[in-house]
Amino acid sequence: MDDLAEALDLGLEVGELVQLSGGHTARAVDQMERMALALGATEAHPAVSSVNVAMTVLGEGGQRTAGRHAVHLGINFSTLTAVERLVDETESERLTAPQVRARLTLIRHASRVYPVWLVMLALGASSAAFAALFGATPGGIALTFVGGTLGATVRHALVRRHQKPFVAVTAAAFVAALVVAGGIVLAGGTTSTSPPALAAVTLFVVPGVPMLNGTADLLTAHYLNGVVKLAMSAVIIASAAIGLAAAVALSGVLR
Amino acid sequence: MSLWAGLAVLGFAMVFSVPRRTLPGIVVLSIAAHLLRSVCLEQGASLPAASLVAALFVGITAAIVAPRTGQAIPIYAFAPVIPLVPGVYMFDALTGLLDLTSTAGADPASVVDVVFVDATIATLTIVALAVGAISPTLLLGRRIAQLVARQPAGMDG
Repeated sequence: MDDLAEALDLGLEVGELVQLSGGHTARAVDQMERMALALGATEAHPAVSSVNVAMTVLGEGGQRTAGRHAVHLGINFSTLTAVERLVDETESERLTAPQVRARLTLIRHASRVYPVWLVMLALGASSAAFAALFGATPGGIALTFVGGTLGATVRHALVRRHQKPFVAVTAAAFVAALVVAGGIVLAGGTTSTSPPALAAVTLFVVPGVPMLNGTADLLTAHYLNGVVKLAMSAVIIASAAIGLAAAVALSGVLR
Repeated sequence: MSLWAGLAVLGFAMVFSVPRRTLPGIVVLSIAAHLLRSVCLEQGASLPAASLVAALFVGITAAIVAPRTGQAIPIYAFAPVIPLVPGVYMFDALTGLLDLTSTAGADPASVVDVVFVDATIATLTIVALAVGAISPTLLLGRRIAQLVARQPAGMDG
């Protein structure tokens, strides 16, 4: 592989990692271009869509163009930081292409920052904290912790089985809300009089990063990618609403 | 009450796989943002306006702190605004919609009014959070990074 091909390939790898880890489009474009230029290209023209990254580079060896499939898989801000540092170091310390490739391999195969069980418990605690913020009773807060933890576990299990967001989020919201709504009804309350806990328990599925990235894309004139991310957010919110509504309806029937 | 915001942000920060050393900063920023929004609300600001102020605070802090600590800006800009999501308004809008499908209950016109108001407040608040958290980075991020590069601080990563 010649120098220009290396610059192109490693630039694409950077773009793919940023895209996979939840970076917004302008970040991916910026870092792809900087990496390619740092590795010897004289011009770089990245293109990032919601499912692909592509780039044309120009240099002494002529011109090359390539693309990769890169679907947003989840959010990993540690990866974003690692890639950003690598691009900075490649620019400032003149890292060679083999050095960059070795570092990218390490970044791609880095282990989890937190164990899964801890993340599930933390999401349950987050749900409980939301319930407290919304004014739930201690019993409601406890139910929300259990519901949030179980719901997050269901979502994690379904995502690992490659279920679509609609299925994973609907099921997760249903389980989480059913725990809270069922608990409230069994305790003699009604779902209509105990909204804080119910309002809180499905918030762990709120697509905060896609909404923020979608907005960032719109503000940086990447309109198509922005609309795609906001549409994805809308689907997730609608899925959570369906799961929540089904659980409330079912708990009403049980009551 | 704002201390709960610190706990609320923890789970999201872990899902986002933020570096462990950044967790305390994210929690403090989240609590501060919630306090700031509460103060704005007490001063009579609307929820979207108060949320915009809080999110701008988060966004500006992130744009300054992240480059100085060698972290990606979204680490400090995204997670701390999640506890500001207007969950109760979203829930009320949804349950109001479900009420419309019920044959018994309140006057449909009044339910539609409530749903529209709740949904509008929730939507505007979410937009305010997104714009507030991101715009400082988009407007100032590169300039701040250049300033930091001229005055390098210890990289803690």
